[in-house]
Amino acid sequence: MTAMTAMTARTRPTTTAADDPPVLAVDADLGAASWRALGTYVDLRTTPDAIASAVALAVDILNEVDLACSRFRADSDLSHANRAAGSIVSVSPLLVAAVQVALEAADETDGLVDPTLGTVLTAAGYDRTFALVPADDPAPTSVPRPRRDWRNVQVGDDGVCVPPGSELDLGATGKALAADLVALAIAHELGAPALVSVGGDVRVAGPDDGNVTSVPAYPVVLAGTVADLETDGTPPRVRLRDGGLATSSTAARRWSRGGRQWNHLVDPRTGAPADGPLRTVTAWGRTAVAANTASTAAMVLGDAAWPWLLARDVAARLVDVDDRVLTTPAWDASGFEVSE
Amino acid sequence: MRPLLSPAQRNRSRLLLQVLSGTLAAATAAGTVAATAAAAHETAQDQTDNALGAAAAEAEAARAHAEALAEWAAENPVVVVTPRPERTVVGPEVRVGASSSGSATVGGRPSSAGSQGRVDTPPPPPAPPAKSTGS
Repeated sequence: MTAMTAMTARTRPTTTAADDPPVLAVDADLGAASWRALGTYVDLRTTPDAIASAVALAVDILNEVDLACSRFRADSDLSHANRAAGSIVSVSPLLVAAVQVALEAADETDGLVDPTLGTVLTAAGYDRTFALVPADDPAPTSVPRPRRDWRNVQVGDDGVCVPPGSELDLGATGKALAADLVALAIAHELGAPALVSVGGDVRVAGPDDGNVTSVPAYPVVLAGTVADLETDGTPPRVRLRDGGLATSSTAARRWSRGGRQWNHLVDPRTGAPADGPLRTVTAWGRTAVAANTASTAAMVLGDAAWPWLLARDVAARLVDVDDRVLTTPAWDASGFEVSE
Repeated sequence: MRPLLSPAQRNRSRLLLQVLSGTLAAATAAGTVAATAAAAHETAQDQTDNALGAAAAEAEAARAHAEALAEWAAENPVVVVTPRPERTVVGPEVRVGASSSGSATVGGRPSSAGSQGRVDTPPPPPAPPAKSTGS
């Protein structure tokens, strides 16, 4: 982003903890902006006319998502619900929506994408925003087996009840929902097309829902991690005109605790970090949540991901630990991967 | 005149009198100490008993008070409202649109699948590509 200049926005984005400074870089001429929020990076693309308003709207929405859904803020609605496990807790409509989406993802994957893995992640050391998690903590720890009781999570119009002994973690679908919310809000309230990437969970939306001709084909580069982009001279690139795209990778968010290597993708069937033959999966879905659900489930499934993706006609691109690439027929038919 | 006691007898009597006096004094002192110690012991025991009794009474009173409070609270529920910032950035239409049933359903094809070159669209903006990486 050579043409971008750093500037101060009217509303400065905030992060959950001591992440990189949330410097906002905006290129008004190109309708592009990038900053940090929710403990990760945010990319926003829209029209030059709408970029200033879109950034302000996006920052406010992401702050709202953080306050509702963060596991690392004591004052978040999610933390209130987790602390009062076993009781119905009145929460914001946004957390209600996030829990509904998370439970739908769990149902769609028969629990492979499980929102009740908070106790496992916390015990493994991921109990704070990732920037503060020690890369190598030798302290031994006892990690509980997953309770797999996402079916016992209760959610109503304005309340949530976490099953006793469980802890909700919306890390899998939360950022994807944030991307969906921001893109839809820009399209709905500003009447402008937008691409939003929140930590790699991408959503494209236009003001005329369903009419893709009003939305440009936004370019998106793919990689296992942001660092990979810097070392890979020609990362694969897609052009996205609608829907969502998500990339999950065991190469991202890794840490060591008690001599055991962890990553943020936990297999709810075993409570162990996903360590199958896949390194990175990128999937398309009608929403960013749907795309993230598919990519996360595929990473957890490992060897069994291929038939699972084929059975559901998921457009997906898989990279194994030996850097071999496999694409599903739906991905090939989509035609959005380009070589530039 | 012949003395009643010889000097030797007088000395023995005097010595005997002194021994008896000392013994009496020692016995008196020992008795006093023993009596004082017994009294102190009894006082300490009484104080201990009193303290234990008072503590038990206070504990019983506190328990009864707590039970009464719990009973009162059950009959008089109070909703504690914690002030929280108004959050109205995400409107109902957007929230429902993002979380409606089917939002996590995997699969499907892009509307633009296989038609990149045929859709009449404006040219893509010259913006740099966004990223989709594991994070």
